[in-house]
Amino acid sequence: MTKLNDQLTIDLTHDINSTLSALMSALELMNEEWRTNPELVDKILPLTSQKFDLLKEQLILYRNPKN
Amino acid sequence: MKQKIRILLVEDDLLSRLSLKSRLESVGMVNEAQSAQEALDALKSSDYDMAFVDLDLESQLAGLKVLEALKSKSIHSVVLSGREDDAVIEEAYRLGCNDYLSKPFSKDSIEAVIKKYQHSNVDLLGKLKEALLTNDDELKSQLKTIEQAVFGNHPILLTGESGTGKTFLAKYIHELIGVNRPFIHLNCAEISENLLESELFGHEKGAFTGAVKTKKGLMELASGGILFLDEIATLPVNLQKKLLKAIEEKTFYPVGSEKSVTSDFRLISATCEDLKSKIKAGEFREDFLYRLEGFNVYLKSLRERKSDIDNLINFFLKKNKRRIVLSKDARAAMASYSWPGNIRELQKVIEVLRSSDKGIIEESDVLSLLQNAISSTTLEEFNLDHIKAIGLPAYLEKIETQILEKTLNENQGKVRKTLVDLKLSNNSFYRIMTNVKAKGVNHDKAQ
Repeated sequence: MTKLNDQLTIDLTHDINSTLSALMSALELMNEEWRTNPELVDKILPLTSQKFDLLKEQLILYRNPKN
Repeated sequence: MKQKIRILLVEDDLLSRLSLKSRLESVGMVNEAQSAQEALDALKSSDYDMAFVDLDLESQLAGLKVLEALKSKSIHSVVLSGREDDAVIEEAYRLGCNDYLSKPFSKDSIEAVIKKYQHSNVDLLGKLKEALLTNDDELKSQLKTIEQAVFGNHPILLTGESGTGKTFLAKYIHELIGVNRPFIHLNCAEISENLLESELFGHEKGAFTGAVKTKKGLMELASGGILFLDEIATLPVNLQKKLLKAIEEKTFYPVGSEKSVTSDFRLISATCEDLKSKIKAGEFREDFLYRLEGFNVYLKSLRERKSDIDNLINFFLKKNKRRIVLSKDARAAMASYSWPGNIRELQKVIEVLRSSDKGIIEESDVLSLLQNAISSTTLEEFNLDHIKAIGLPAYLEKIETQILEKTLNENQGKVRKTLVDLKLSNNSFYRIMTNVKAKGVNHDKAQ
């Protein structure tokens, strides 16, 4: 059980880092491009929004691994 | 025109892929792959210079397979992964990855690895060797340190005697990183202590008497480029503390201002003094030295790299259209001289020789010039009877007083510049000055 929890923590850490990375890249890009490249922003904004929801779920799971 | 880099981006997450692709397109042509298999297929059909690879793709750590393929094709690979496990990082490097960026990362990290890749193809060491005209093994290893340091953002500390090429090297590093960036050069010894702070940090209008308008400091002007602080050992201790904070935080307050200024500059500092002994004497902060010491480069004196003298002579001879020739003996005389003024002195000697009427320079011409240099720097004309009459200590005291007074006059009374010019410690300076004053008092009394 402990091993399973350890593996879950490793995988969750990886997933949270990946989600944060995707969000950071997207937000940095939107910060630079929202005036000049609205098409790009339209494309990535909904995906960014979905990522925030995913991050919320990942963080809940990370804090309560037994649920 | 710079050729665009051919980049393969291997990432299964759509948002990450879109964002990264958009950023990478400013430096290269980007092809995307969503899985390890797609990446392997792309590698078969096209050539690439660089690849960014997520490790977890269609299955956990599937990206490792891609790394192997990239290595076999000598393609520069950058891993992007949320995995923090050392074993995974080690495995990635073992399979040939060049850089491992852990997620989440900022655009700066991406830009840094691209810059590193772009510069990895430049023969920097060769350029540095050529610039310093050296074949000396020890100096070459020092230049290797610079090679590693040039494109980073760590401070560089250049040490070595006066005339060994510290300023030249700082300017050359600036040339390498891009002349369009600012290069701000401040000789700390040339500015009086009370002006140094406002020069470095800037000031607000009315901050002090004479501050008739707001002025940007050199640290602010150096933003995005290089701040070169020469003769750093002469920087007053209280300013060292302020500068240390500014370097660490990249933020500082101009004199008389409540508004902070942010500046991202690269610090290169130089000194001909031994900073460790200045720390012992309480004249230099240890924490400040640690901050300056990102990459340390010691430039050897010319007498320590005598094998380079002939190359340097040839270089300076060819620098002017009026060509002269040095006989073999003349060259030998120059090779055996100690060159206390280092490269600067060698250059000056060649210029003097060139300005003479002769086209062929003989040993005697060189010797008379170098003897003049020796006598003018080390031996005053002296009267032995007079020395015997007053005693050697009193005579030496008289000479050092005269030299100090003369140099102070030449430097318009600037004490710090005088200290540097004469390589004097504070203690020695004040000891001699006490003699000057004591003599002044006696003189007054006598009158």
